[in-house]
Amino acid sequence: MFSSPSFIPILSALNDLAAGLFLLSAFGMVATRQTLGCLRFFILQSIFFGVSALLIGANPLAWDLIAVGLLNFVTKLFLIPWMLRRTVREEVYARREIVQVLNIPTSLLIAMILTVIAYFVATPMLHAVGETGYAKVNLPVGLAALLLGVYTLAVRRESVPQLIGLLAMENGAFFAGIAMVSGLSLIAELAIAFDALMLTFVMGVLTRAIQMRIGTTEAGALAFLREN
Amino acid sequence: MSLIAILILPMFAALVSWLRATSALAPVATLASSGAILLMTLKATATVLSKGEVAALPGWIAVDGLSALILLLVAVVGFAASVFSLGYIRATAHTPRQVRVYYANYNLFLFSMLSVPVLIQPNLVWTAVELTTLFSVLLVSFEDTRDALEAAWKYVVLTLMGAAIALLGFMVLSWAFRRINGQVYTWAGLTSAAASMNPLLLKVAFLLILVGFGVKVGLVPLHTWLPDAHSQAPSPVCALLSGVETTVVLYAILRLVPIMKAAPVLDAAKGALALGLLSTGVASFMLLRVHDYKRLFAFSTARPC
Repeated sequence: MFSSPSFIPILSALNDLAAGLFLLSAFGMVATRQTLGCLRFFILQSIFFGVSALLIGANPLAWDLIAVGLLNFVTKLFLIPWMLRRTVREEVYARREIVQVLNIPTSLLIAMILTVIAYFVATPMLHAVGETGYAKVNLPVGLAALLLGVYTLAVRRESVPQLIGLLAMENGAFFAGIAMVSGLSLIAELAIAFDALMLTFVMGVLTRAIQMRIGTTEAGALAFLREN
Repeated sequence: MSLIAILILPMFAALVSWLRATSALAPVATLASSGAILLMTLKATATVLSKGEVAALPGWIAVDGLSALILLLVAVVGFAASVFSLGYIRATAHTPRQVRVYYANYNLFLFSMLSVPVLIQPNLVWTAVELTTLFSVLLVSFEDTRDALEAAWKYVVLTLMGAAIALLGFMVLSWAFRRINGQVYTWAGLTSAAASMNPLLLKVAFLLILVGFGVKVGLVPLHTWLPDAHSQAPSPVCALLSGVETTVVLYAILRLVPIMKAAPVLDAAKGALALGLLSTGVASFMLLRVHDYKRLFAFSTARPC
């Protein structure tokens, strides 16, 4: 339906929009104070990821990217939130603030710096290959989302937000990937469908075990092992 | 064909161990499957020695000299650890459920490590490395004590962070390959195409993968999880973690070195050597302060090169 070349400018403009909103939801994850908010921003980010995959797959038509987009909707909009609510329900809905090492304004500043760094790293790569396609937007944005994922993971001391940070990192890597490797992205299909689910399952089980044994899900409180 | 059987057998054994109806057979099934895997690996290695390469599924599953070596290592340690598991689990497991969880995860963990050397598409190798973490986490936390859970949490968070960074590296690698319209995306195809691939992209990909997988290998300064996870895991699992898992991931990095050699922008071998020396040095000094013998072994694992 979008196969004529005249659609490419519209699709790529829409993809720019999706990329911008994708990055914005990564910032949202840095700025939020509650686990549920973190999860909601992650779901939002996954929606924009799926939209970008569908747009890139529409012209030139690439069924594997469309499959990536659709699989992504099924797993990240329904299965992962469902699994999290099943295994660590009280953690997701707890209305208390997440313990955070740095406060939110500082975090947002650092997040901005990380985004600039991502552009700084990605631009020479894009120039080196003379890229004109979707990767021009998706590579720096994906890299920035990856770095923001590392940051949220590092400053949060709660286990469920750390899990969501890991999933957000993979989202970022895949967001860059869909624009670069269409046609080779068997890995993306497999990994999106299976990896993220396995990751959520394993870490959910572990979080519940930690909660039952130690009585907290604050991963930062786990500091028993050290050399003595 | 036996290469495909090597991958199917542990999955079957995991299923037998997990299903309640057949779980009484779990130790026997695990022992039998890892024994059969060892025999088939020996046969495959002999074929590699005489013919040079064995391909079971061209473009997907094949074994050459380097991967046969790693495969043999995994099979030998896997068999030995499954023999040791028999008595160890009988003595330490408290509930039937623990036994089921242990053997199911043990076999899946073995499956993921066997698939790293056997798969020849880089992207699938990344998936297999990711699975080695996911299948071994519940083995590290098996004893369900405060310390074991902490070790498992550190292990899963740090290594999966590394894996996500390496994932971007693999994406950049396949991007570089696609830009030159490369056809067969395997290790061999990459090596032969490397000379014409964009050197900057190769460099970025290699660095991302080195840092990402370096966490899992335990390269200093990314080694902090390693002594904890290795010392808290049950002994047979500890053997697999330090004897095989790090080696298998190191193999994935090693596969990139000939590719980087073809693109002379970064001396990958020298960089890896420097990191390895740093790891060895730091780990050796930390060994002086450690008194728990399992942690001693763990620190000696953090000296991969």
